[in-house]
Order: sequence, then structure tokens, then C-alpha cells
Amino acid sequence: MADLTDGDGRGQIILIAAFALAVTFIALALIVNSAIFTENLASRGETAGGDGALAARAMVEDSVGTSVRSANRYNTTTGDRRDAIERSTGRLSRQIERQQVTTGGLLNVSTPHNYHTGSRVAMNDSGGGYFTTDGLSSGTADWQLVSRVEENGQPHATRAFELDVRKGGGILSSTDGLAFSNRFAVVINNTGSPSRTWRVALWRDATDAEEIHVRTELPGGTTKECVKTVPAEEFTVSLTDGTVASQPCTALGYDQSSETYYGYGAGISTPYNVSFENGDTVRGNYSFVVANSPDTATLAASPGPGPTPYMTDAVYATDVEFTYVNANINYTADVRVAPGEPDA
Amino acid sequence: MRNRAVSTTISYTLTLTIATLLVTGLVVAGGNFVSDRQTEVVREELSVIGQQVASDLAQADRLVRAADRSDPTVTITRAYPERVAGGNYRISLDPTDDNIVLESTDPAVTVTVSIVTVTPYGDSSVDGGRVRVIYDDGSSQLEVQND
Repeated sequence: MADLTDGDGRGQIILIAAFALAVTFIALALIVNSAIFTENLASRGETAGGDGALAARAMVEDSVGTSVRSANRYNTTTGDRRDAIERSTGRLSRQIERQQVTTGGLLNVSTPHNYHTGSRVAMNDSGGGYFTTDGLSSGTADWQLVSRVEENGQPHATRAFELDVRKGGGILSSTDGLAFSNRFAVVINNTGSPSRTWRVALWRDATDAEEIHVRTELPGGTTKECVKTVPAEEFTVSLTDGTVASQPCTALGYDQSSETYYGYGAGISTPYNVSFENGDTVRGNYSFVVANSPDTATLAASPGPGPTPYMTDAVYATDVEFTYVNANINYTADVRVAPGEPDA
Repeated sequence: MRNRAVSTTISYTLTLTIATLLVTGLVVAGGNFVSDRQTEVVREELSVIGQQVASDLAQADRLVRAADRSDPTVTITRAYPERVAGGNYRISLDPTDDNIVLESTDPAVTVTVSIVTVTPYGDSSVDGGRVRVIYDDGSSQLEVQND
């Protein structure tokens, strides 16, 4: 029989129980730790940095796009244009490489390749010219700039169609007794049969000089008008971006209420012709790039002195290889650059 | 006189029995509680890891779609816990049901996270730890690999 008076042998069960509970508590502590770590993991943001890669990609596309625009504008030969694009892309690559390396990443832009040559139609004059055959108010006001414009293997036939318009001595208001058909318009009609016409007219409001009207007419005769307040004396209408002075214009884009697309060349199949009507009622400069070498009977082959409309070869699109590397991401992709292309 | 001290023995036995019962109950209840918590924590952790892997897949999908030609290189590497609440686990992509399936062995818990991407993902499976989501330009699909 146990010696009930022996103090050393008592309390074993309590001891064992305490030990078992201690083990249980340790296990519980580990599990709580795991739960806390889970919360930590759950509350982390996008740590891999994919948004940084996409932002850098967009920046590269934009910057190389600016190089392409400038090269097309300031160089006349194919070799010069490519040299200019390659020089500025090289500089861009070196600059962003240096910036990126401070954050422990690597970013590189390759030399552009896969050039697609098209043509650029433009009138550049510091004083601006009339949108007529010779840039003068006396020139032919209703005229065809180019014919047989087509995609030539690209997704779109025309990109970066921009009209830089001046108000003073420029676009006439409707108080000048002009009928709608007498307002300045850009007209696109297809060369095939049946003949279809897309037209966009531009004018200034009769009473409010700051209001600019843009009205689009689809091949079926449906029209859509937008009115934008433009205080500036000079502003840009981008037909391919669908903006007036950088403000979106439904008459040059998608109208949700009627579910109709009114944008550049809507409903017109390629090949098509591009014409101006009443070019003597508007003043400024314009330019657009097409993906092929269209025919022209009116444009000069090179920029002349004064406001002369001309057409030269141009880079329509090019590719650069873009590499973005950081601790979590390794991303290399070809980026196609065609600045001002619709839905780009 | 021979019956003297019996009550002390009975009292001792009763005390011992009651103490054993109480202690066993406490230990069993504590053990069950810990086991339940562990299963719950594993389920939560697998679910969080599943969401993160889904976010990596979606991110890789966005990067693949942002490339204008068909053969981009996309690798996203992330460090996930090697174990969840002390047990190993496995991450599998199940393209037929548009799911990511995460399974732990001890305790056995299965969690599915659904994810739909434009770039398809292939049937692949990895252990927990450092996980890579890659774009395989041969098969034109996303996959997971161990780093």
C-alpha cells in the first residue's frame, strides 16, 4: 500500500497533466503564429511588381513613339529617319537603365527593328496655311489629297491624323452665312463599289467664339455632333484619337447611347481616298501617316518654302524589344510602336 | 479494528480517479481544440496562398497580353511559406475547371481558388516554397514551377 505520508511521491498526475497542457499550449502558440503570418501574407500588395513592368512598357512605347514622330517630321531620307530613331532609342535605354538600377532592377530597350514604311502627308508652316492645294486662300478649296490608302499588312491604314487649327483668321463661324455644306470638312470615301463616304465638318460657334463644333456624317447619312469649349487660340483636332483640344469628342468616337461608332473612317473599307472640302475656311497645319504609298496628284514630294502640302516616305510602325528584370520578374517582350494609331 | 484506514484508501482512490478523469478530459479537449484550430489555420493559409498564386497568374497573363508579338519571356518568382502550420502542401493548376487546387497532407485540407485568364494555363503542380509562374512559348500557356 502506498505510503500516503511520503510527500515526494505525490502529485504525479498533476505534473503529467501540466506537461501535456504545456505541450498543447506550445502547439497552440505555433498555430497562432501561423495564423498571424497568414494575415501578413494576405495583406501584402502586389509585391512581384507586374504593375511596374506594365508602366515601364507604356512609357517605352510612348517615348519611342515620340522619336518616331520627330524622325518622320524632321528627316527626309529613310536612312536619316532610322538613324534618328535609333539614336534617341539608345539614349532612352541608357537613361532608364540608370534610373532603374537604383531600385535594384534592370530595364533595357533594344535597337528598333521590323520597320514598316508608309507615307506622311503634312503641311508644316510656322504661320500656318489654308487647307487648300497650295496652302493659300486662293488655292483650290475642294481637293483630294491622296487616293488608294490601305492597311498594307498593318492593323490600320491611317494613324496620327491631326489638324492644328488657328481661330484667328482661321475657321469661320456660322455667322458668316455659310451653309453646312460650305464648312470645312475632311472626307473619306472608298474607291471600290458601292461608293461610301465618311465626313467630318469643323466650325466655330455663331455666338460663342470659344465653342468648336465637330459633326460627323456616317455613310448611311446618320450624323453626330459634339461641341467643345476651347479658350486657346490654337488647338488640335485629332481625328484618329477622337479628341478636340485633348477633350474626347463623341462625334469622333463611340456613342454609347446609340451604340454606334462614329470615329475616323467608320463604315469605310480600304482602299479609300482622303479629301478636304472648303479648305479655304480653315487655317493651320495638318499631318497624318498612312501605311502604304498612296497616289496623289496634288501633293509636293518634299516640304517647300511656305505652306506647301507634301507627302514623303515615313516610318509607320517599328518594333523594339523591351526587357524588365527585378528580383521577382523577368519580362521580355516585343513592343510595337505606331504613335496615334486608333485603338492602340 | 481491521476496517480502520479503509476510508482513507477509498478516499485516495476516488481522488485519484476523479483527478485522472478531469486531467484526461482537459488534455483531450485541449488536443481537439488545437487540432481544430490547426485545420482552420491551414485552410485559411492555403486559401491566401491560392489567392496570391492566382494574382501571379493574372499578372503573368497581363504581361503576356501586353506583348505585341507572340513569344514574350515572362517569369514571376514568389517566395511562399514552405509549410503551412507545420505540414507540407502542394499547389496544382487545374485548367479544365479553371481552378488552383492547394492540398496539405497533415492535416489533409483541400482548397480551390478559381481563376480565369485569357492566356490559358497548363496542368502543372509544385510544392510550397519558391514558386515560379512562367509563360511557355512552345505550348503558349502559363505554368507553375519550383524555383
